[in-house]
Amino acid sequence: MHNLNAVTANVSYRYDGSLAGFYCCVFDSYARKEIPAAISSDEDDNGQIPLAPERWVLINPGQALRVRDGLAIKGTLRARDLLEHVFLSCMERRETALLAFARTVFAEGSRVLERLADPLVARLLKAEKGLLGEAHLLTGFVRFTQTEAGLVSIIGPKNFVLPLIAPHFADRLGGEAFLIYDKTHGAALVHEPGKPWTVARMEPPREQPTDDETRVQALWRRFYKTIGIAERENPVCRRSHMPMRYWPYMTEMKEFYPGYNGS
Amino acid sequence: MDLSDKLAILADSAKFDAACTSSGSNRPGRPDGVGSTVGAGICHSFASDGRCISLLKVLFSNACVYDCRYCANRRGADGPRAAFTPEELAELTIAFYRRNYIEGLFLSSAVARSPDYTMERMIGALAILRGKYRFNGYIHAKAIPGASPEAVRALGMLADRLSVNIELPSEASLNRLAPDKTRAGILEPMSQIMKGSEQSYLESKALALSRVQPSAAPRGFAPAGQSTQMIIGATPETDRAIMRLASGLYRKYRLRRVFYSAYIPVSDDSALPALDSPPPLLREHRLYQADFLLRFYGFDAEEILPEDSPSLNAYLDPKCSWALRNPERFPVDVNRAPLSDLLRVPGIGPKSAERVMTARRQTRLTIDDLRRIGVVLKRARFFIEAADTAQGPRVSREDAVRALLDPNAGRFGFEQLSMFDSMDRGRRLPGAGDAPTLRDAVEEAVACITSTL
Repeated sequence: MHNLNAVTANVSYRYDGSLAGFYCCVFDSYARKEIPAAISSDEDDNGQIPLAPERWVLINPGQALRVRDGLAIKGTLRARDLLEHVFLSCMERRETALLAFARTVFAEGSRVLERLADPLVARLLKAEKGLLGEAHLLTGFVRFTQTEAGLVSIIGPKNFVLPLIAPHFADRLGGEAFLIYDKTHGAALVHEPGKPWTVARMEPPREQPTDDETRVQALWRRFYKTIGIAERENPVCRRSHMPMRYWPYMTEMKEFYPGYNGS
Repeated sequence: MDLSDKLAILADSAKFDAACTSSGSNRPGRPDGVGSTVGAGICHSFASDGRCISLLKVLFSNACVYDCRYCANRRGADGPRAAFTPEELAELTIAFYRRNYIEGLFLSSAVARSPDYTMERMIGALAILRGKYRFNGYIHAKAIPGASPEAVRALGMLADRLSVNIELPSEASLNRLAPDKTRAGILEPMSQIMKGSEQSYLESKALALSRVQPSAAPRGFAPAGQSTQMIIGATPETDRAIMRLASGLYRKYRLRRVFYSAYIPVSDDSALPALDSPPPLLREHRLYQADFLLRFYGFDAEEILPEDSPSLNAYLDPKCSWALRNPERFPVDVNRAPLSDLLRVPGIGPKSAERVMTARRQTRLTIDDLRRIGVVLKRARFFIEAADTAQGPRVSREDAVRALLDPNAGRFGFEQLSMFDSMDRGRRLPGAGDAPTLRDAVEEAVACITSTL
């Protein structure tokens, strides 16, 4: 469905991993009338040999903005949201798929969003669903520890959910200083009372818990163990609602995670 | 008694209450307070029984003057008794909330002294939480049957959701097992809550139209409405009676949810199931499925269980069961059928039905398309026509029935099958006593259901 006066070229785009950088890849693809064989970034530097000779795509904020605005005008805000959501997701080779999607939006407008059964659209929707689902789960599964500097949490999500959960926590805990560190992506959401939140690359936090913290955590663990009904025990149901990969980061679940060593 | 022991006693006493949802209220944070609410609700953890933990679910006190025979906290029961102080409970809630352990508080209580005295204590705790601690998160509070309208009003002004438990599916059972409670003492507050909550909904709409900042709007009376719960399997009511009651409650009292709670024996009482009888979990599961059909699929209680079918089918989910009983309604043409007909197809839910409506605007949908959209073809394929389906009979009825049998029926355990009084058009479905193994029971059920089609 996507194609239009552009041919697949023996070139691989490389960009800085930012959304603006990706939009510049889309711009270049139009400017050069070519579809790159692959698009890669510093983020996914896995030592693989590129499929085709690499070309660096430089960031040009004006070009990025043209593409971004164009998506909303030619398509709809929903089309652009879908693209920007999938960009945050953990979908493999998402840039190539998103370039194809962007080209389709520019060619056909928002109609493409109705083609829910189209393999490309279905794939993007599935990736978006995974991202939004994980963001929703983490609004519940994030666990803060009280430190002298404020509330600190560590998470290990598959998708880059920090920008999505940031407004929720900033609104809810507006008067609190807090930090949520994403171990998978090496980035943190930082909030201080009265200031806008930020998401940036960062080293893992090293703040120590306050003296009272152990007591509160013990109360929570005791509540957790008490509230389950023994006669209804159902480990499969628990795991399907709360996959085990979240457990190591959760105060009440750590000890149930295989290989837990008491720390 | 230290706080940890108190918490354990009062959480243990509250654990049989099924409701732990934090939905129905959408309120942004406030600059002068802590907390917000989210319309869809948020689960913060899942307990060892697989149930969601959204709220700090506790009783204010578990020392009851009532003697309801099905209740672990009844006057005559053994076991430790405790009560929070209002300040203690408020502080604990805030400590848990700030760490994102919970979405808010679920507060119920045993009847300490009298219904109004109990309500006064609960109101005191919530007032500290909302006032001193400026807590703006979710609160679900239980209205005590028999409390005065003034007390219910005061409680509702502090809570997002209220609930009054209907307890048992019939008045006769209530009279028999809960001598201190009356049907009227339950329905009166329910009716008051419905009116109050509706009024505050209209007021909030008016405020929104006059462009009052959402974060400055007052909370109002029980903005998340009310729910209730009933105990299943302690008394002889049929599934049909239960579904008719639930559907009446949804209509008459605008309940957001009815919860069904499989009875777990708490005492050796000749009026109740024996201490070693397992809770009817599969039956509870089927009731929840039927409840979803009422709320999201446009089914009527009479359609789910007509007069000649008093019980839900142990082996089939209620939607498959309805579809097999009504072959004249199928096949449904996914490229033409209205939304209401799509919703009747097993394997198509509210979301996939909407997606089918959208996707078919531009193309005639094939079976592969439906799969990508999220239709569960394992069930749907027997009931639909798509662009590429072949004409004529595709499979034998027996194979269709076998494919539709709910694999969960087995997962709940063999003995659960016996807790149904299941008849299919006059033929009794096999239970644990009728067949040597689950596999035999399933084969017998297939034969039985097929023969009645």
